[in-house]
Amino acid sequence: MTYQLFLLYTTHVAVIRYPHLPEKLEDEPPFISDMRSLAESRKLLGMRAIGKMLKDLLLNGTESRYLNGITGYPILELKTKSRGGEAGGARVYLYRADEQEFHVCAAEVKTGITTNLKMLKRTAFIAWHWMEGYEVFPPIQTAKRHKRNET
Amino acid sequence: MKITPEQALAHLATLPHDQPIIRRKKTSTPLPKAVTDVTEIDTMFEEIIFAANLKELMVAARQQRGFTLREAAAHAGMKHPQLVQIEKSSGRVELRTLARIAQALDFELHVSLIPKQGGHSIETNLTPT
Repeated sequence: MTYQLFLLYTTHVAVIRYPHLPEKLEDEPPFISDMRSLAESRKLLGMRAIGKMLKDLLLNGTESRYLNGITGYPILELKTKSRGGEAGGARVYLYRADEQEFHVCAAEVKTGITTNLKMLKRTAFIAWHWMEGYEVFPPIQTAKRHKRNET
Repeated sequence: MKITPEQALAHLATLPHDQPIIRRKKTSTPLPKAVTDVTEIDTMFEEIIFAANLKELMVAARQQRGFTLREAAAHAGMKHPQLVQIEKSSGRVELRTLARIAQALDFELHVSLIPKQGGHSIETNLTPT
């Protein structure tokens, strides 16, 4: 029983990636910038709620209790069940890039109930570029490439 | 093809809402390693909060002295982008570098180990002599 519980806790169902803005591949992913802004404005409870939702997404994938579709778009959001406060306002905007692969594009701790249009557009912008074959991840310097560059 | 975020959103609205957004063209570039472990999320958050605390400390010290980033870098004998990088994002900085910056801003860098359960704190001054 204990072993089964251990497996339940540690086995991930989904994978997460943090895509970049297609025209700014050298910059850090916008989701990371959003998290820095939250940390700098000391919204630590909101950050904790975002972390909890991301972990749940990893462990449960499309079955995550926090995952909701945004009406009218194939874009998703992670939304807490809490009401009010920082935790209640925590939102993560993402899209599904494969059956259980999620690309996380934006996060915020908001006060109102409406979807943040700016973040929705940013997520759509990245998702469209991903779909059309544009790079949304910077090239990885592999050992082979590195060697080729040296010669 | 150039597209605005508004156009991208309008285009996505025409796609099935319950299906993943599959890449139409395969990329030759390998994808970065995906996050698969919950502990990676904790580590990332710890790093971000650490960086934010460090930034707050450095900006406050610099502003107290009335230095711009460029002036502070020159005083510390560093390149401007290096200080920008330390202050703005990464949070990854050697204590020795931090001590040098503190000294350039006319501060001392002290590190304290404060026992959570009570007891004597341990403190050391890391400012270069």
